[in-house]
Amino acid sequence: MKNPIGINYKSIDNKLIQDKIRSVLKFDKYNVHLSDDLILQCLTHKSFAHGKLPYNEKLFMLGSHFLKLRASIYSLNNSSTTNNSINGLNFNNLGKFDNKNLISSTNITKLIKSAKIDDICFWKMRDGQKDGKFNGEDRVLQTILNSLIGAILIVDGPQTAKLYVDDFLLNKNNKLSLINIASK
Amino acid sequence: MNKPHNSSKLSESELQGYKEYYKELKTVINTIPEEIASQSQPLITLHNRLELPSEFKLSTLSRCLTCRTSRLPNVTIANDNSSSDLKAFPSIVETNNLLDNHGLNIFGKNILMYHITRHMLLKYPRLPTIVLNEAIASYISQDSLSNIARSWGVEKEESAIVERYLRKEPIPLTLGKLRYFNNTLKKLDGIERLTKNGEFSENAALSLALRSIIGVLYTIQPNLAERFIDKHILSRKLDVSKLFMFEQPTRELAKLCEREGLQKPISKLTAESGRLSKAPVFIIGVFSGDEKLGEGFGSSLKEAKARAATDALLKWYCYEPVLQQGQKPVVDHGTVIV
Repeated sequence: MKNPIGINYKSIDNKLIQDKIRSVLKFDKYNVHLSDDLILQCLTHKSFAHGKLPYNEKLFMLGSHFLKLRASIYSLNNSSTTNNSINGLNFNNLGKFDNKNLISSTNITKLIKSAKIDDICFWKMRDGQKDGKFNGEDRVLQTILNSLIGAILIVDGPQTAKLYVDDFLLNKNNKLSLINIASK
Repeated sequence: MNKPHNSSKLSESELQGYKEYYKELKTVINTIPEEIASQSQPLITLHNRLELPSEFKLSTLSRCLTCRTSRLPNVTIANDNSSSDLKAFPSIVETNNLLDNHGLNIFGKNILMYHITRHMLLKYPRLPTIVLNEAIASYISQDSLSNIARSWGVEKEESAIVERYLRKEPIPLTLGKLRYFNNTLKKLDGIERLTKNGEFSENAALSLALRSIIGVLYTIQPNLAERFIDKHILSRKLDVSKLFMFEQPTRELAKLCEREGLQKPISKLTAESGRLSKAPVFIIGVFSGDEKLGEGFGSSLKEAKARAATDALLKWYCYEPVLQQGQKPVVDHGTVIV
């Protein structure tokens, strides 16, 4: 049971996998308390063991909806014009490319790769001889970040998840944020 | 065959009056002033009926009822100067794209998706993804939302502008009605415009308005939107167990037990009656070690066994945790793939 770069699922080194996630994604700073098992579940895609091992499908679903909501709030708060606004928020920006691109699978995958945690994702390639695009790498890797957000929501609650997403992922002062990744 | 046109034509003064009425209507729709919206009886009624807070302005409620598809005549005119095209859209006035519900709808949809998904996952953490999606869709699909909006008594604008002018309808009345692409021709000649997503339909417009209202409530206070969703959408009863259909229940149960580290499930006949009659009944229990997982009955052993496995699976997937303080939330490992 190995991932595409040869890490064995059954003999995982916690320091290599879970602690790396905690330090790179600054979990301690935001009081995020995800267990080793849950982080491993977030890193495991459905394709890896055909449902025999815990995988991240539903956590991804929850996390992606939350991220989408927070990204839309970010766009509303950062609109340049306030003409025809409602309670100070301009809704004409929503649905535009910049807003959609922020949370697109491509952008999230870029963040995962920038954080260098793409190699500790457990998934199965459709064809090992072919490139990432053929194997749907973007779609698989984006599930890591979204499912981690979903796990934070369930375990630490919406307030912690909100603080984490707004202050870490949607903060242009943070080098490893979706805003900065999208602008590159 | 040739009808005299003069009798049906509007007089010059009437035509001028109609032009002024149209112009005034257009200005009001493109700006939606609060003082005019506050004279709109349908808006006031809807506002009260939904128990919206005072911070929710009537002009904003009117904006929630303005769909972007009601801009279509403008597009037609831009492409083709022939005013005859307008005959297909006699009930629509060109709207300002800055004052429609497009962005509000997107925002409201994001709020709804997150809130309903979280609610379902906390209530039924083990639901299979496919059932979870169906459950979410049954709450917030276009048809469901449009039925809710219809039950609120949202009125749609159906009459042509000239009809409104002739019956001297006050302009604020238009602000309180749902305005969307509303091709009245299809009702006259039986031709219906079919589109891929049905985005021009009445149901689409009603659901856009509902989502927009949720979006505005969130901007006032997020709790208001959540309470509104709980009250109007999540309050409807949904029996998730009816959404399941197992193709191979015994096999799926065996796989589930294997993954969860339980002993292999064994079916045992617990009761039977009339084995040799034309209407036998068998009752089978499915056990994992000493633990009984489920029970089923049937007129054959095979049927009873499948029902017992289905019962066990339903009990697993439809599990509702009773979360007490300090108790860890349930995080499901994912659906078993057969």
